[in-house]
Amino acid sequence: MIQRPFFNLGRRPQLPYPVLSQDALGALKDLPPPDRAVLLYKGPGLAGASPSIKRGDGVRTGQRLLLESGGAAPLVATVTGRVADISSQRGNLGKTYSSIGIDVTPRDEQDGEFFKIHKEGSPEQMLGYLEALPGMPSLSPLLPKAGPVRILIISGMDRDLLITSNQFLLKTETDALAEGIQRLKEMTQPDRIIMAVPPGSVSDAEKTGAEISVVRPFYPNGNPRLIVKDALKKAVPMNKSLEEAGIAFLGVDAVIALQPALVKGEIPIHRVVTVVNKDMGAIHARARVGTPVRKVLEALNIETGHGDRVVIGGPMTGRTLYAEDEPVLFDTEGILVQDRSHILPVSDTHCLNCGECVRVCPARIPVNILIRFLENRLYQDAVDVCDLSYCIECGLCSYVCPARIPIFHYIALGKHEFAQQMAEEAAHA
Amino acid sequence: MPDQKLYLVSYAPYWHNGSSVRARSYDYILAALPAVFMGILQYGVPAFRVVAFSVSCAVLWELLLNKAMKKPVTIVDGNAAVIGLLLAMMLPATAPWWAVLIGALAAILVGKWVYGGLGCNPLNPPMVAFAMLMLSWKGVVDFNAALVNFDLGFDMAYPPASLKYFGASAVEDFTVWGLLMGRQSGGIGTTFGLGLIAGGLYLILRGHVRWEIPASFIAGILITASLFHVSDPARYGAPIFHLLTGSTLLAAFFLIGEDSSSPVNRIPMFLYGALGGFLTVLIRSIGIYPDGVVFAVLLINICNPLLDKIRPKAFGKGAQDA
Repeated sequence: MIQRPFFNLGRRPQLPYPVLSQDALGALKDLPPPDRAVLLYKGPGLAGASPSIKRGDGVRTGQRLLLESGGAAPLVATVTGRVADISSQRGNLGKTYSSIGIDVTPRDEQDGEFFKIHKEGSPEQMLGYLEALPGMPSLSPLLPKAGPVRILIISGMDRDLLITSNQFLLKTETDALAEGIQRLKEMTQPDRIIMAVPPGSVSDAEKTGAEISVVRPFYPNGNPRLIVKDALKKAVPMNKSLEEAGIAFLGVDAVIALQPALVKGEIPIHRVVTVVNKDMGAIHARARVGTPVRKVLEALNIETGHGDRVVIGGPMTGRTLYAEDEPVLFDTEGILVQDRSHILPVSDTHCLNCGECVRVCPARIPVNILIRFLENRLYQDAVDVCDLSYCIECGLCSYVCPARIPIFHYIALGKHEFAQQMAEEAAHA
Repeated sequence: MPDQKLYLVSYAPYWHNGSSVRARSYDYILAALPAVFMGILQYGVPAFRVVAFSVSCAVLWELLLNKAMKKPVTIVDGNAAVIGLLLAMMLPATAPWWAVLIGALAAILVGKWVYGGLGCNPLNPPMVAFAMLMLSWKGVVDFNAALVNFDLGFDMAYPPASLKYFGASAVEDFTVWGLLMGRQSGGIGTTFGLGLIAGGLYLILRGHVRWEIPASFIAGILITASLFHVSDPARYGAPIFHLLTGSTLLAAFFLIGEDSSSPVNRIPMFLYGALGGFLTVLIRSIGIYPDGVVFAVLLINICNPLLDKIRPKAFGKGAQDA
């Protein structure tokens, strides 16, 4: 935990990203494949539909599982085994997930479908297939289409503090990265390719041949919107998605994951995660996608106890787990274990109006007024008067709040509730 | 399942910089102590009596109101103690017990809780209380009358009053060093300029007081007072005299920067402070009150919500949807 300096003169907190140096990378620990893998599909998937797979079905590595009849909601398996369990889960803010448990057989059997697509199919088909890997970000922004100048931005920054998986991959798998970028370039023909990296990784990033944008390694500069603004010297308006502005944004981890698929037609099955122990020591581990967090912690001898916090992601924006059954997916950058003695409770004190949050907010939102609207559930006013929708979700407001109001939680709830209100109004219009 | 392992689930972020309301309050108290000690040193037991009674009354009123309103007990956050202390610092050492008791009630109830408590008050609570005392019982806060029986070895006339009623020649004997060292009559904690400046700097360095507010307030005082002084040096005091007398320094570092009643954006903070300084000198020079700070502070407090509407455009907010 980074404490406030005793004399801070009202300056914003300087929260440095950890910077890996070449000689202090540490070893990469390979984790054994799990006995039971879990794959998550982020979407309604199984809700109300009859999936084309059922318990007891055999699954091969790289096989596309269709969770709804008619071919919708595909999910690509990263293990070989037998389906043991299909269920639906609830996540934060009412999101639903489909979860498929697979009893893993030790020997991998490859499914041939993707290899065929790689040989004969179009880039659309290939990327569409890969997009269905569990936790893979949307790849459709990569595809060539008419519109503004198309820019591919690859981030070598990690999204959150303590997490160093992108930096680690950038330094250890530079060749694979360069190859992956080259292949993406041939396939999708972007007008510019920019790599955003911390100062220590510039020489590695140069090997990829992309344009370089150096990011000051202080939180929240790893945020995609801020990286885009840094790289293009112009912010994308918040009412436009990056995709609409012609920007495809991928992390180094995603490019590394895509590389074997794009180059050799092999379905990727691993990802490197940063596991941060209670003493904040970080280990880089390569896990089979689908490995439950429990297995990762067991393999690394990290013990957790009652009342601790286990977070997927980093300390500022991660997501807590209530059970260790959640798996490592392609978007799992890190796992953070926090001892219960390090947890500060939040409070329901009123906002003091001290303005710390206003001064720290990278989006320049009047958080002190916003929190008053949000506490009173005036979401429309929060959007109209206080720019709720312009929040880039860095979590710094909660981090600095002396009243310890869970501001970021209120903001997330506010955005969710407002979106629901809008959807309801649209339905009744 | 008594021994089941359950994790704590909460929303991000999972880190906090460790700041708290309580730490802020205690820092305020710590920063105010030099000026308070000087007051007690000068006026002795009567001053100590007022300080102790004011702080205890404020905390007790807060506790009673918490209980009466069935709210969680908030005295541990130290805000009530700060309000009591700041009120005592503005009062003369001879303030009668009932005035302190009523002042503390006014500060906690009328200044703070009628609006919903900490962070909801539009006006500075100790200032509200002081204004009420001043308007209701003139004699209580008339420093010339209240301190008539004290002789501390310097001119015991209240400097702003002397300036107002007898012109600049009446205050010629006050030296800057003397004013800084508290050789002037006034409220218990308002006379020791050096102590107030030291405390104020501490609060600014700690980040509890935004430097923009005291800086622009002092600039406002100096500039406005210079203009008056230049126009008629015999009638209007020197700028530095305005800065070091009355409760100007206390207001600059401890009162106008109070979180809830002051703006948080940069340009509004400058406007707010400068307006406060301007009004203070204006009331002192052409108003009817010797010390203009009280009403200047309350007036700028009222401007705060309006001023704070001046703010930068949000990140990624284009002209088309402004």
